[in-house]
Amino acid sequence: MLDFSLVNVLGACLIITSMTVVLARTGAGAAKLYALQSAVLVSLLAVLGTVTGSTELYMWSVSAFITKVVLVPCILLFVLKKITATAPGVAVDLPPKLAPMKCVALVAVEVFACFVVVSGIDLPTAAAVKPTLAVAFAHFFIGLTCIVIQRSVVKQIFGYCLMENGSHVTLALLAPQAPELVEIGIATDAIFAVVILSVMVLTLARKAHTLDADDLCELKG
Amino acid sequence: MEIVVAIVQALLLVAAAPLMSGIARKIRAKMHSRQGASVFQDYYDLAKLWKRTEVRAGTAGLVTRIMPPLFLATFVVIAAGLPLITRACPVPLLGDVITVLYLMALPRFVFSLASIDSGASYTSIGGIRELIVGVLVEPALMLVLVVMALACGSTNVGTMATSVATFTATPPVAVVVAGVAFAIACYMEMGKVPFDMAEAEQEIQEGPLAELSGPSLAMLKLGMSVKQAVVAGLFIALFLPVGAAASMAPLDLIVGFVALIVKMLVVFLVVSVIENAVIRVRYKYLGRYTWFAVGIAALSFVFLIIGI
Amino acid sequence: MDMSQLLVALLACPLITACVSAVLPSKSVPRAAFVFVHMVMVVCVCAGGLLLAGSVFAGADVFALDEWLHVDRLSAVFVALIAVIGACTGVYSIPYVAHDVADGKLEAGQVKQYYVFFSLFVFSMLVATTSNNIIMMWVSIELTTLSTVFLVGVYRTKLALEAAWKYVIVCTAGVAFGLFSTLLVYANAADVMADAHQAVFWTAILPYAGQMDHVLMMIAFVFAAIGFGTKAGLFPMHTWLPDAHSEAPSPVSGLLSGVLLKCAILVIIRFYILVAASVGYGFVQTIMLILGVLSVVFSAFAVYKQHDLKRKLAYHSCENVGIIAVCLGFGGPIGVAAALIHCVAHGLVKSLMFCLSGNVLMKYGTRDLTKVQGIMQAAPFTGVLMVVGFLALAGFPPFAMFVSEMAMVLSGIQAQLIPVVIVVIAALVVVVAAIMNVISGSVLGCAPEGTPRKDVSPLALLPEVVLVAFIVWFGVAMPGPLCGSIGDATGVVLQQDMSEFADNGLFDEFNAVFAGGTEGVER
Repeated sequence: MLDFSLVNVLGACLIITSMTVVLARTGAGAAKLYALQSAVLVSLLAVLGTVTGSTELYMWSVSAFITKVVLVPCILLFVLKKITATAPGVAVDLPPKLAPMKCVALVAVEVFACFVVVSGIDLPTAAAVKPTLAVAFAHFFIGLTCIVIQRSVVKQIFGYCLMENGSHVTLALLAPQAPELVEIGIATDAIFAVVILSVMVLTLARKAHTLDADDLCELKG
Repeated sequence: MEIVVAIVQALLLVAAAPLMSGIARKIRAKMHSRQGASVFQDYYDLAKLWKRTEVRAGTAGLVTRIMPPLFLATFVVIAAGLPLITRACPVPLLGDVITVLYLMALPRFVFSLASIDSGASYTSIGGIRELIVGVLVEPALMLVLVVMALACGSTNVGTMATSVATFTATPPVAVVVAGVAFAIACYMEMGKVPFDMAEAEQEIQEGPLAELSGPSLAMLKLGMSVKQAVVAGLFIALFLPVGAAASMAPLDLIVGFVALIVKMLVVFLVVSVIENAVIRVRYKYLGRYTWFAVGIAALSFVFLIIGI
Repeated sequence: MDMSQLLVALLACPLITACVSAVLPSKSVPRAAFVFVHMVMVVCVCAGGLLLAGSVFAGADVFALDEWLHVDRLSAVFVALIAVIGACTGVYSIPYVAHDVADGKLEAGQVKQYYVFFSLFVFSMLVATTSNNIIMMWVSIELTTLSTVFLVGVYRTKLALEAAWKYVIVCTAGVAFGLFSTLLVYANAADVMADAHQAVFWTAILPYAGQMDHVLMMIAFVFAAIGFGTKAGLFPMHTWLPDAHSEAPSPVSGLLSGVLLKCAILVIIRFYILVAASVGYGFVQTIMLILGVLSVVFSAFAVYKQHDLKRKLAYHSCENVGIIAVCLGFGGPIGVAAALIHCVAHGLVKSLMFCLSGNVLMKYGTRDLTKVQGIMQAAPFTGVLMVVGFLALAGFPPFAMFVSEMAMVLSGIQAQLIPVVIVVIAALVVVVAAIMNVISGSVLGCAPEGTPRKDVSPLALLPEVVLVAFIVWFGVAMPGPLCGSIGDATGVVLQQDMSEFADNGLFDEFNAVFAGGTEGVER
């Protein structure tokens, strides 16, 4: 049971949870669903660590738990609370530009395209986990989709976080023996990016009084 | 032996279908905090209708006369072929997925044809809507059944049920996601609120049912109840084959019989609760929900291909 | 002093000044304190950078911090660029910020923010150019984005915040692509190399490049080109560039356009070298050519259409990054040398122009070219410098950009891609037309009624004069050391020795013509 097929199953759950993050209606809901998605990611890393026998992956799943499951959703929930407290007139939860129902079909197409690309790669470490590699690859584009279709800038941050998740899973799958420093370096940078993005969002809400990406299109041409 | 099982199945479904809709009505009443009619009300209604004389519109022709018995008979035939009590199909000829889908399309087609036959406006609208629902929902159904066929290695519903029951259907996540998509698509196919496009009591005065009376109406009402039971049965057969009889031994059959009743009741309970908690979807927004089901089915297809 | 110690000190200096500035309270401390700390940083970085670059050109590569930092001849060019342009824009910041404070556009807290993030920005760029660890390279590029967000949005107007948001979201998403490619390369290297811990170092990966999986390396390069190309401003990922570079304060725009884009190009070049060693030059050149030609053509027309001075200059930066990509796409010794010379030349000219646009903004209070007229009359010194700068931008001799654009044409002809050369030249003609438009419309002609004939303060003119001197010097007679260093850097990119270029006749002649006119042409 505890072998690569479990990794693949967790990979599929990753796709399903990311889709829920993309489709979430409220910012707070998206934050909680993101925490869930990161929890699935952490378990994926832990299982991968057991299967490949790599202790670095255990360390990494612990640090990923702290940063992704705890820190990032907390930061974002805090920012959302601050926005409603200090800039009450600003609408936070805006509907996305693409009908949510069509997003699902788009996600399916992306996963398929990534699988086609991944099947051309010939790497010994990746042979057993090709489906999950395709999933990690697809996460990238799912995150990009989230950024593009969302009207609320808060939800665009989640798109970025999904992209980061995709990169981390790819690294874990392709190089399980990577030294912790590499992984911690990337994770710290991701946290900094989220913090800076949140500060920007807060400044936007306070000074520009809008969180609508359509409103932020005055500079054109 | 199998033929006996098949006939018993079909008769059971026909006999129990009005009871199911009666239970649904009772649940609605309880949710509205009122007493409601008895669970056997539908039987009394059918008996009463059967005794009445049939009145038909002057312009109605052969199709209107044929439609109700054809509707009922087709669904009875489908019910005979599904692996409800047993894991394998009682009548393998009827158990093929493609046969089932075509057999389900036939009454829909004749239903719509009959609705235009009489020339009344609301009736025709109802019939056309029924066709459109069919067009929108069937892709999801078809896609899921293709996924299941590829996952289980055969288009026979019985083989699919067996492989799901023994956990030999690979890849697992694709089957689970396909199950979710199928549940949504079946709910739409059943024609329950929020998707009861054809009857739409508040909107088009019961639609095609308005033109029928007497025994024809009784047969059609019975047929529609049987259709709901059959669609639920299809879902149960494919994705919830728990407790179905693996062999023809009498004990297994009895266990399978009891399991079927329990599963049907659970499904109808869930369906009734959902049905009474929502309002009808506006007709022009139907596409969104069907796209959702197709999307999920497509996702399961992709999972199947990439082998998760 | 040992060179590796100098390298570490060079990196530590702006980081320390950033921390010091951050610690000083903004309300109670006078602005002069921040200015003093800032000047210390500028002087140290300039001196240290030039010293380091000089020693690398004269001697050997420098390694520091246990191979985490590495300055070879290629990075030395960029370190020197950061040193010079950082110094000029740093000095220019002082009168500019003073003017903005007097105008009321910046408060004390924002001044502190400006100086802190300026130092941090210089630090991140230095790390990006000198890092050997590929993960660090990515982290530093991300850090450049994060440190400049608040510089772009420092004025806190709605437009500035909009520009800053677009900048941060597009660049972090784009650079995430870069992360992906870095991880692919790292994973691939960890597989083929004996010691997986060495797989993070670019110098260690390079010898093994031939053994890596081809498909993976090609995917990695495409992602790197898209990802770091977003940061460099290649089409179609350039959407953030006009907004960010126009809304930022002018010295910051100069630094962004002049240096940051080139740092991103350097990272792309590092991937270019790796992937070319693995799958050959054809693939990487094609990708660069496609992106480059699209950028050049699209941006040329955008430059023509613009009325906002800084947006015009920003689109022109897009176009020039496209030219650099085209040069890399043509390949060969002349192509790569052209790309590197263009990095230097364009960096100098663009930072000059942005500083001058800052002068215009200080004088007229607007960036709209339809309202800005008669600069020559109203601020004569600025006007003259502007004419010189614009002509340099257009690629006229005797300015530095003429050399690189000539080299680009030569390399295109040598690569036998004449149609591409024709397309690029046509786009350049459009740009020349746009620039002539600006000169005749805004610089020459009559100033609006009542504009006093008074130029900006001398401190605001000094950096521009220095930059013009460099541009003319490099255009007329590129100094031997610089030429040699560009040649060496080209050698690094093509993984060949300089002497092997000798049998490339065209390169020899080009070298002879443009590197010091006294050497003459032996024909």
